[in-house]
Amino acid sequence: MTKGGKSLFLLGLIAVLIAILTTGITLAIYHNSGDIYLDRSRPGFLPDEEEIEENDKEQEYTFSKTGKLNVKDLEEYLEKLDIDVKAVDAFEGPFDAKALSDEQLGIPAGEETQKE
Amino acid sequence: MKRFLVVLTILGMSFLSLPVMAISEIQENVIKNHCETIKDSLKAVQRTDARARVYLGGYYEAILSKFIMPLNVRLVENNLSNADLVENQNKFVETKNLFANDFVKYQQMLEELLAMDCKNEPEKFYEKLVVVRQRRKIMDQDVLKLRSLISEHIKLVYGLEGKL
Repeated sequence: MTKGGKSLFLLGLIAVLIAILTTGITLAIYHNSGDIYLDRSRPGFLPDEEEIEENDKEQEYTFSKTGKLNVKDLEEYLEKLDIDVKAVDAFEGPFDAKALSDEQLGIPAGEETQKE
Repeated sequence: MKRFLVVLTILGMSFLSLPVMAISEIQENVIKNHCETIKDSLKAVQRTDARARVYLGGYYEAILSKFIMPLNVRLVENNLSNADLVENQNKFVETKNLFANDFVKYQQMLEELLAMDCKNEPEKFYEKLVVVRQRRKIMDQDVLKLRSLISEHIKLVYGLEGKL
């Protein structure tokens, strides 16, 4: 191998090592920051079509920070706020105990005992 | 030194009397034999939770940035600043952050549970499941707290109508 060839090989090798290192760091940050748990583009976490349609319905309304405040503004405020509140309420017990219960996982019920 | 020993003894005694879920032989066998089915159920829960977290997080953010915060700014501008509404906003921000952080902790625990060998270590698997349940309970409490703060906010806004 010529001197130029060796240098080119070394350059390529260093570039690959830097790429592996930076990708590793990025993935570690992605995982440790918890962003991975919000990433729904992961296989098995993709949103279905219904969800995409629901998302399109998101309201554009933002209450104005300026101007004289009157009862009519507040009524509109409460009306628009109610749309998002109803969306929150549509998730009934999103993190309730049932999903991880023995029954739900098909495990016979256990008994709570005191460790002595 | 004596005081330290007394505290240590009390802590030790309270730790030993913690309620634990003792795994029965039947449970052990079920976990061993249905290990993959149980893990599939847990993965389904993980997917549903991710959906709930993303949507609820989005709604909480929208409620805060499009409603609660602009209203408080406008009230200040109109010399109608309301201490209860401001306090409620601060609590909402704090709980929303807790909700996000607790979800990461919960998911990390769930991931650790999914990585466990339930066929060969059913007891350890079940112990971890109990811990994951506790983390999930914290999530449930965060969601309930945020909903109660939204209700409180609405109640306070209704109270404002009489002052205008």
